[in-house]
Amino acid sequence: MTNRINTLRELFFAGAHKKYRQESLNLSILDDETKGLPFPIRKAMAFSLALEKMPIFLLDGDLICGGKTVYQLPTYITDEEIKWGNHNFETRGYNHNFDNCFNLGQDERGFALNDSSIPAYYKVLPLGLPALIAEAEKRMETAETDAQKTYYESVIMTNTAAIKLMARYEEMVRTMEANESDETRKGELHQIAENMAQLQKGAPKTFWQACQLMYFIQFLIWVEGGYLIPLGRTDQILYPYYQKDIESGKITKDFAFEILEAFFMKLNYEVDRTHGEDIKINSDTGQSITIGGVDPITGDDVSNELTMMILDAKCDMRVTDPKVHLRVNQNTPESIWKKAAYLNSLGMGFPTYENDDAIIPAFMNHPEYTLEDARDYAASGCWEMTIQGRSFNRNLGGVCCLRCLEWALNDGQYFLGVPNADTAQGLIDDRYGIRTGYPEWFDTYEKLFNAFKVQMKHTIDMTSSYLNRAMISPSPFYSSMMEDCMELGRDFDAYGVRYTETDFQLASLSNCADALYVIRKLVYEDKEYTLREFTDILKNDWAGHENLRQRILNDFPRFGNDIPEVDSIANEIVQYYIQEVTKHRNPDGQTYRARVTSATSYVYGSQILGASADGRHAREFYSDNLSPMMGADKNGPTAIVKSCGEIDFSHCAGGAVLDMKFHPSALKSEEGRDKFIALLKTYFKLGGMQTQINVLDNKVLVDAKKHPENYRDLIVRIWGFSTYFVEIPEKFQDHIIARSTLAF
Amino acid sequence: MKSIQAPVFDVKKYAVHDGPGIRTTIFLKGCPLHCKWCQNPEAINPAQELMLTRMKCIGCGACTRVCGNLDKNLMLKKKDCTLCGRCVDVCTAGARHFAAQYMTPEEAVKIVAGDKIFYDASREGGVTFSGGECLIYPDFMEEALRLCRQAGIHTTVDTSGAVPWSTFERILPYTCLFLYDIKQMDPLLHKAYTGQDNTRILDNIKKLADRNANIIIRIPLIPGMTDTVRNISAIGDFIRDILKNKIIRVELLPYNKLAESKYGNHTAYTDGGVGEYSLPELMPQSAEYVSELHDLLAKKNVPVFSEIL
Repeated sequence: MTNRINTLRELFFAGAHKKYRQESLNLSILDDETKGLPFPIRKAMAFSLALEKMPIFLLDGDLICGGKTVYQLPTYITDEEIKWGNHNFETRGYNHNFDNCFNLGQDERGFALNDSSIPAYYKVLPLGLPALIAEAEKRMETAETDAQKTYYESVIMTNTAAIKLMARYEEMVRTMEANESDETRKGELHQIAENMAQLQKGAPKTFWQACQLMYFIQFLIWVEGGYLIPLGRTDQILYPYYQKDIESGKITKDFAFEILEAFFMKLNYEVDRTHGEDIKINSDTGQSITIGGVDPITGDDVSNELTMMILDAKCDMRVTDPKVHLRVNQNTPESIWKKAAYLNSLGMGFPTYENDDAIIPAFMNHPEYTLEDARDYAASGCWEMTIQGRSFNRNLGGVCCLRCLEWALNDGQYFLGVPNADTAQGLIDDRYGIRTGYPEWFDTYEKLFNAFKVQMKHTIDMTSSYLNRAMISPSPFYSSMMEDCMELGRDFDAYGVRYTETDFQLASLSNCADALYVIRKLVYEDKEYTLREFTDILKNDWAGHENLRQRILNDFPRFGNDIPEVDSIANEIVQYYIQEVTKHRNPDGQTYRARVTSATSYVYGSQILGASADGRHAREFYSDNLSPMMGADKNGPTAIVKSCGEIDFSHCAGGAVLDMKFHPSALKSEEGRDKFIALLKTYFKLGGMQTQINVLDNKVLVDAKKHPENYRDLIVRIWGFSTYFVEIPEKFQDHIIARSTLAF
Repeated sequence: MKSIQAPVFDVKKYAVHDGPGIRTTIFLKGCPLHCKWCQNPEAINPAQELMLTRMKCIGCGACTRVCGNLDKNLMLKKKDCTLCGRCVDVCTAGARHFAAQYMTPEEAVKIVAGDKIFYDASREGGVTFSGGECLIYPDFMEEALRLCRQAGIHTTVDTSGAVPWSTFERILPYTCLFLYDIKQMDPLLHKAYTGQDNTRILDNIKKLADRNANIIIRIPLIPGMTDTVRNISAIGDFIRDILKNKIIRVELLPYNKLAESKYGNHTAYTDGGVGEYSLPELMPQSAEYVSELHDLLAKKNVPVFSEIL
């Protein structure tokens, strides 16, 4: 790390950028005249006014301009609209208790803000913002509908505002340059101002300008209200600029590395301002970059020098953003694997691995995707697989397997009663589930399993009907950075993006497979209990039956130990889930996508569940993502990999994430890392899709909890992103500590 | 018990410190040596033993109802234990268990073969038999190793060398690699620290080298006992002059304190088990000291490897 980057890093941890934040400008664009303008125009006006008035700054030594300083757009939504909006449509009552929908950002009307779509940086960088404006102007002339005209106008307004903000930055930096006494810095400031000047005129011409424009667009999308904004295949997008500058001798490799790090540093500015009401965790920014992977046309591996450089930067910097996802395939160079494994050994949870050889075929099993687009996928948000620049990704629905099993055992009701009854929606005579009968009725295991499937189907059907009614807020600036919106003259809310993806999640899979196995064995095969007796034991949270619970925990086979009898149940659940999810279409006509992840629900969703047959107590956390239940994985990572390999993910286009945890000693030596690489390659050969890796030392975590002041940059990966251990809520800390004691 | 069975006290998959590639390590119980620093003290006694993992005990009292010999700490005298297993059966929490599980070579190899896909992916991965001293079960070992080789699995034997040469003769055709411990060159000190002198150990390794076996020598660095300059230097001379450097490499294993916690924790016997850890508190070597020893061997032209601290 150079002195400059070290200083910028210290300034970041000291919060130097926060000084310039102004929460709200206390402005409004509404008056008698503007009140009647179309909504997108008003939003564009508010965005423009914000950019005109927002504080701007450049920290000492920084090479990249920009940074979000205003957190509320000037008022542009009328009281009338707020009144008639769809209030907290995606939030209270229905979603949290029932279908695991996420409570993410909304505008004041309750319309969903946009997230998780990867801007088409590969298209926008070669054009520059002025060309976008020119194109919008041209298209406006021939536009057929008013809605299209309005859209083009909103694109022109927002992009013009962005260019004006560049001018403000240029002016500020020129003043700084004039006042600078240090000759080296003066030269840098001159170039920074020149960069801003060039970007007002046209497309970036250098690597530095390309990084600058990428960051500028990135933070402006945040200003407009977007969040969880991924960056796409960064090593591919930036490589032409890098190559040209290095070949022409314009910059040295060292300086290119410094620019890249300065750019990455900036991406960390918003880590403390993530969305979400009760699930707000720092660094949940969704700023994923995807590196490696294959060429969309030829299918050849396209890892390059920047791929390595980005991995190096992540080794170097010890900050959470951007999150790095490495696309691997059969032809990924060994040097990339080795560098990536080294990065993993540092314990920050980077990189996450995405297996091209499983994910691309899964996309192709969906009717919508072309091969070329499928090959150009990238990670968004945590680990959602979308097509960069061409996907509008919504991932709001979820199925919790354990809940479906609980309902199947209890005629559609929770063991613990109706959660949050006061705000609850979607109740049918005190039931969230559907009536499937009493335990006495299930005289065979198959009947019980069918009831479980009915509950699952019910969840998926109900949730999708709600999701399909979700209203989306237009985002003219963000959508102008996507492909197709410009051509079609449509914003996100009008489904201008090529692929509108609605993803479902599947949580607590391993617990549910374990539980079904236990019931099958104890009730139907060995007949030790009737299903009624066993259900009552669960309802009473094992009271008086601790011995039985212990026996289940210690003597029964569990998912994650390479035991086909349990693994096959997990596969059966997943296949049914995929079948039901992919029956649904969203309003854009695209098939819903299935994904096996839990996100936060292992913490929050578990709080409303009673005891489960796998030995879990009521309200106890269940497993995260595809992982075996905590403590159940007694045979190490090879067994986990083989168990997960038993599940057929070929139609699971949303992805499936396996969390693995290792003790630092396992990855300390190069020899150890080679073995780790062999393990991952084997998983991918078995059809595994995605893995995220934690390398944790229990002692360090325990000490960090006690003395947070000594561990400000200790980074761990939680359900889908890396974050600072000392900043997360205690129950997450405890969960990670508990997991780390089981590291291999 | 059929003679071909052997007591397995642990199976570790994804074992990454016991030879090349991803391995499954099978630990057999029983050892002719009694090293003061033993890392697997439960594995010294070849006989079956009753264990008690107190951390798992939920205090249900089920064991006290099936066994009249338990005291208030739920322990018993060794001579009173008939190994009937009733207390193990009723212990749903899994706190009571036998130290070893008797396996046939076929059973052991079945477990090993389950991970073959990983051995193949990791170049030379495979099985490692360790202990205790796995070679005190020559019948079992010969058969297990033969079956592994038949299945195309790379085989490694982790040994102290303190067994008759005839055992080595039997397993040599089926063993791809030996991890061979040399602890102390001075026969008297060797006897003091391990209970036996080192004549046979050094004889055996010389014969193995003469037969061109693949050998990695491992030296556990125990502060003050094996990590002295004098000892390491003597081992270096032995490797160069007697073994003619016919080994793959020497590995220095710096001391770690993990072993201490194992002592006294898991026995169910008031008068048995593994007893108290007899070493005083030792500090792990500094990285500098390990690299000094490393250089000492390297200067003698002995191929040496030590993991970075």
